[in-house]
Amino acid sequence: MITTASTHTVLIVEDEEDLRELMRHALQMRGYRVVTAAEGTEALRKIDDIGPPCVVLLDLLMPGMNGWDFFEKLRQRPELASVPVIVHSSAAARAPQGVTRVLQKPLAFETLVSVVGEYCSN
Amino acid sequence: MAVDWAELGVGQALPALPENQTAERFQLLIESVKDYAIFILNPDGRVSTWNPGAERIKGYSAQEIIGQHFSVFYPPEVDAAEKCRLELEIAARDGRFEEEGFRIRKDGSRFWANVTITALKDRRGRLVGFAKVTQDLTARRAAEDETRRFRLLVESVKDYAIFILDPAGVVTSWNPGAERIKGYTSTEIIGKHFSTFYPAEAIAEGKCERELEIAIQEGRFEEEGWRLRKDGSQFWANVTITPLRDPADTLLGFAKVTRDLTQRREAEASRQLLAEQSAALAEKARIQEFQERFLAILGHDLRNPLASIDMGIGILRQQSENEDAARILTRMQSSSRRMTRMIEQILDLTRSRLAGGLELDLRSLDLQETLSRIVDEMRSAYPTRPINFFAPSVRILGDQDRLEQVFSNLIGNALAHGDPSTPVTVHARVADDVSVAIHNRGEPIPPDVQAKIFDPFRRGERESRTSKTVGLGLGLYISWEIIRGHCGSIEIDSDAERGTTFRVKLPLEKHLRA
Repeated sequence: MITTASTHTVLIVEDEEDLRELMRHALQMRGYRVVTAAEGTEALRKIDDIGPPCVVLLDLLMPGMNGWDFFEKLRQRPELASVPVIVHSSAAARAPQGVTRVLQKPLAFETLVSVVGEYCSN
Repeated sequence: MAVDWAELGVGQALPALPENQTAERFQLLIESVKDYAIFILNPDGRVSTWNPGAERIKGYSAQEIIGQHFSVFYPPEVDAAEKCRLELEIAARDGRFEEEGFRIRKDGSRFWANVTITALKDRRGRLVGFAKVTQDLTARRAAEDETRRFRLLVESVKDYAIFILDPAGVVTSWNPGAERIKGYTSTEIIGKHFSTFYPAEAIAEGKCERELEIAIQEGRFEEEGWRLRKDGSQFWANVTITPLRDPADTLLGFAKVTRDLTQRREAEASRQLLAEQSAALAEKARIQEFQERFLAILGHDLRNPLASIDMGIGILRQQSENEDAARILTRMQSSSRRMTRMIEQILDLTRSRLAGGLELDLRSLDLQETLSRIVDEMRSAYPTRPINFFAPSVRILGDQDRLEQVFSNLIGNALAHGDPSTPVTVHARVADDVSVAIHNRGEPIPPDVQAKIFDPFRRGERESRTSKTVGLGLGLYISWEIIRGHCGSIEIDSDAERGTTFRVKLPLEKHLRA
């Protein structure tokens, strides 16, 4: 298991496929490595494979493991506790306590790129 | 065995016939009697004669019983020998003994007997035996028992008024249940007509006579209805009237049974009310579930595709150097953002109208900071338009995002609709409360539009679909709802001379906390 934090790998956890793939495209265009998951369980598995990302972009309302449960699991693991988590959701007002940042959907391309740029290097 | 009736003095009362003839006839009479056991005991209590009545009642033939002691007729629980001795002793002393009691037939069965033992003495006064007459009263006793039990039943019943009316409807008997239900004692009511129990209008309609008529014709009358107690209060009664007739079918009167069903009726009513209330609750829950689903669709399901469109436009703008494509993408982006804002407005409307109001996150804010942030945003959105701004630094209790939404809406409207050659003024002042006036010159808002300006989906003439402003007509309604949620108000003042002013009033934080 890789535990060293990657400085340019972004993890997108988003169930809406169109949005997930467009976000991947946008960030890859800017030179980031992007890993995606459709819900929390898949996201935890991806982290086990690739190690901690530089930032997690997290949707909340998802089938399977939702964003709240995923965030709780992530924070329970010491090696992942400090990974920045940006909630990107239509239910932004109900984001869990302790997340790094909260962004209301829909998010403009420019905002996405500039926010990720604060946490990751491309 | 023949009896010398003449020797016993029988027939002395019939002097018209010679003595021996009288005795003969008397013998004949006894022989023919079937309803009474009539027989003679000798002085020590042994049976010495037996008639057909005795055979019928006790089951023994003359041959079987003559010569036996009469103690065989007594039930086993009785000390027969002692009792027989006593009975004969009394009869010998007093001339007569009479009692009612159980006796035993030959087959061992019991019967209720009336027994008379008469001492038989000869002319010289010597005891020669006893005449015993026994009557079987089993049937009479059973009937009496029945009547006694029935009376006891009627008198112990408290939940039913059971009483008797004579053929004219006058009360002739009254039980404790009747006293309890109707409130009259028997002395008060016996002799009164049963119309006493009916409301005046029922009496006027001839209801009492009709009920007795139906009971006579159909053998029974039953109904539920209002009746009166002695104190004038009404109760809901179940009433049954049954005619009473003798075996010859002559009408003797009526039995009337009345039950007080007021409590049952009330229980039924409250049960029904409860059922209605729980149905209403279920309906409410169903509507609430629908509202939540509706809000989820608006808030989540509609926003996700818009997020994709926004993101796609952003990516394409980065990649495209073609000017036409860039213009098209700009229009697509502004449409997509307009759509996003409309969804936000519909969400706010739904929350304020259906889901129990807008949720506000009230915190201590500085009014000046909040307003200047919006004014700055507006200045960069409308770089050619001057905005005169003045606000003192004062603490209010408010929801930052929601207040920004209100002022952005009002200042945006002033810029969009005001005369472009004159400045828009945003002026806040503090007195008992905080008042923020947003003023613009130009075409005034007509009075009829002013009257409805805070209604949802209103669209004044100034706001056609081609207008630059977001087009659902919900902006001012939502602003008004937000300010109302802050315990404040919005007023409008508009005419050609003074221009248009929207004045937002908010309470001071210190007043709200006080």
